[in-house]
Amino acid sequence: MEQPGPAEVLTRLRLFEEMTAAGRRATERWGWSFLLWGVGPLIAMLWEARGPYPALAWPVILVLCVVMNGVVLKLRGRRGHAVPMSMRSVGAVWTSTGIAVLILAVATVWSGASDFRFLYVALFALAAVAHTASCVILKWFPQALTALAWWCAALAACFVPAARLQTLAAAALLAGNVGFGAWLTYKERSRPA
Amino acid sequence: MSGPLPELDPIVHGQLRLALLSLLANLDSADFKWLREKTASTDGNLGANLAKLEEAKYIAVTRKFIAKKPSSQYRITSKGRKALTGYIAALKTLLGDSL
Repeated sequence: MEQPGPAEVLTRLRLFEEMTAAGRRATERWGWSFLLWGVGPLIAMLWEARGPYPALAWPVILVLCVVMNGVVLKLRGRRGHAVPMSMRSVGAVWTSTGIAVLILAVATVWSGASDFRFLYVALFALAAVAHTASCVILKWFPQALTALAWWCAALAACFVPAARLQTLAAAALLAGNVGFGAWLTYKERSRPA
Repeated sequence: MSGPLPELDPIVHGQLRLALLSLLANLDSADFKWLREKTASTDGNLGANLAKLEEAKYIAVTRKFIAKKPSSQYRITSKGRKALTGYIAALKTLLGDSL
């Protein structure tokens, strides 16, 4: 192959740098997911406390959240997207947390365990672990605050009266998922595509 | 000059192929539409260059169907990463020689 001149070499190097930067800038948009999994459980709690057929509240809302999550992911796949390097590790953290939460929740309800305090502590701690791992992988300070909110909720769940556990869960969901999700959505909307 | 001129890999040297490898080097994977948007290329040109990179085993492709429409996910292979690194090192050597 004929050797390129200095101008062409520089053009090639500039192209490499520009494209490398474009690849690094590729980010997934996840604010909607935090909002969905924050608002969904809050609706389920409200329905269970005040709505008709309270036994249906959690199964119906959780199935709806899973379906909506799937639909959004499918639609995103149609539009064309890139998966950043870090997404595989972050995805692994959230998938394993989701499975752990599901197994714990189903096992507790199925076994008829009467002490729900342990379940709350475990669920809050799992959310805290996932946020902590995710913020370390992404080097993302705002998510560290969310992790802190969930760690505080897990600690508080050991001490608050049993009647206040639901209120604590609602506060943790508002601060940990809805607040973070809303902030993230706002940041993503103001970011160029 | 200190030695013989470095050989440039003709597969990586193509402008669009270099752009594609550079993009994919920093991603886990990307689909056709995203690559087309970032490189501002046409379907035909992009498809031909992706096929060339795939043939050289510099990229790997996973084809699947999303909502009954075909979707291809591209990722760089270790052979492709090595070729890109070697190409950039060769360019830098050439630039050094010309200064």
